[in-house]
Amino acid sequence: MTRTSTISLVSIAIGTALIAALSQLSLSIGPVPFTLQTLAIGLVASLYKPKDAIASVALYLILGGIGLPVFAGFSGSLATLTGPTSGFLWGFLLYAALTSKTTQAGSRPIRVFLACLLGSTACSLLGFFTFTVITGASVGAAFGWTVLPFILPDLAKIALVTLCHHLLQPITKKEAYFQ
Amino acid sequence: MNIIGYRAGSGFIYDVSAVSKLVFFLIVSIAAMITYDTRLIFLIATLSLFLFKWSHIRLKDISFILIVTTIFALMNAVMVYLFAPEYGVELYGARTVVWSGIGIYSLTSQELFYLLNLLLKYFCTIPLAVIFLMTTHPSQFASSLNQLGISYKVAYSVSLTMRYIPDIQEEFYTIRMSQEARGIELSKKGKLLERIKGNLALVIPLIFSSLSRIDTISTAMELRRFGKNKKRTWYTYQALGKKDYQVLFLAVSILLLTGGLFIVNGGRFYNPWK
Repeated sequence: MTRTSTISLVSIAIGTALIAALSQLSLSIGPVPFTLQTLAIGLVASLYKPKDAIASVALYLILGGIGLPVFAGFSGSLATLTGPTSGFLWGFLLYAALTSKTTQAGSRPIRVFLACLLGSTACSLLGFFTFTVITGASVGAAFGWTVLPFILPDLAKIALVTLCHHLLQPITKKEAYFQ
Repeated sequence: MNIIGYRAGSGFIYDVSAVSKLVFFLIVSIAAMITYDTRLIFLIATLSLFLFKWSHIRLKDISFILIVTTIFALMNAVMVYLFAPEYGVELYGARTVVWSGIGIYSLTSQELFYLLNLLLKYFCTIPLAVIFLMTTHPSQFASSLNQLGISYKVAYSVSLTMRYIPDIQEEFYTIRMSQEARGIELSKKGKLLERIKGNLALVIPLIFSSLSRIDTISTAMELRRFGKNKKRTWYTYQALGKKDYQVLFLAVSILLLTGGLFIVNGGRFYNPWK
């Protein structure tokens, strides 16, 4: 096993642990709970290499799928991965793939913001589409319930990811993995 | 702290091999997910709560989780009702109005019965997941995955994940207390902009400390010659014993019972209105 593959393995584990831990945390920013689940996905996606970012999210979904309480709200089960809101969870893979393909640890802030915006939008659209298919809800109702309330919070999280990514640059420049 | 993670203990559940617990957990969770026979779901939920009691996990250790789970389950039920208020009628082929609402939002016995099934499913899987997570050492979990045929490298990354989830959670609380101790306003009392700055001061060190572990851990693993051979031995390896076969037998029995009820019910659903 090479040095790089050992680092990859550990980074996937730490990335998954980060997503799982942050999914359970929320910050009191406004009246709506501001969970860090999508923030964690955005960070892992923008900092990691594509393969590792996707593997981290995949491992997170697997652990949740076998029932470990790692999804938001300490939930987790195969039913969650096939229920009305499952599209958003599977969308995280899309988010990780799209964002990590277009950014690196050294990318400029505007690029990170746009990449996360692209990933987050794809994730929301997949979630919205899956929701309408599974529940049979009308397009307007589904949009109002699953997309509209999350636009501003998601934009705020993307801004936070961009800021974190930028502020972490002095550190990521020193770590060989992120080159 | 309400942190989920392994806690040392003793008793039947701790003695059982992680392999048996994982297989039992997967089989019973799948059975609970597939069936809509209320009697079986109730039986599994009761068994889960009994095992929970038997594991001696203190209720206060996980009361927060139970509360959040209940809230989440109720929200899920409300969501299903709002979007498909007549789904139960569709499934059970009868319509008994309990409360006449506006338009399609009348409440029927069939919809309530369906939502009851959904709620009970949560109480089948969540307790089992918590039991598994809190009574299984991460290394044992990794070795059990390897015994099931998964590459030990992949299995090891799973155990690393489980080992570090509590660490990151603990780090979060430590950093938050440290920042509050030096005047950062994080509660609802502060202004919005102040709270955003404060939470940023919280997230940055958390992520940095998490990412900086990667190099340290991977170097330490290499110094211990991780990954140099195709196979490895496990310090936490545990051969299957009599208790394990009892557990596996119970899991298979539940699965067979699920299959049997498919035949008896003529499908996944137990229909009291048929």
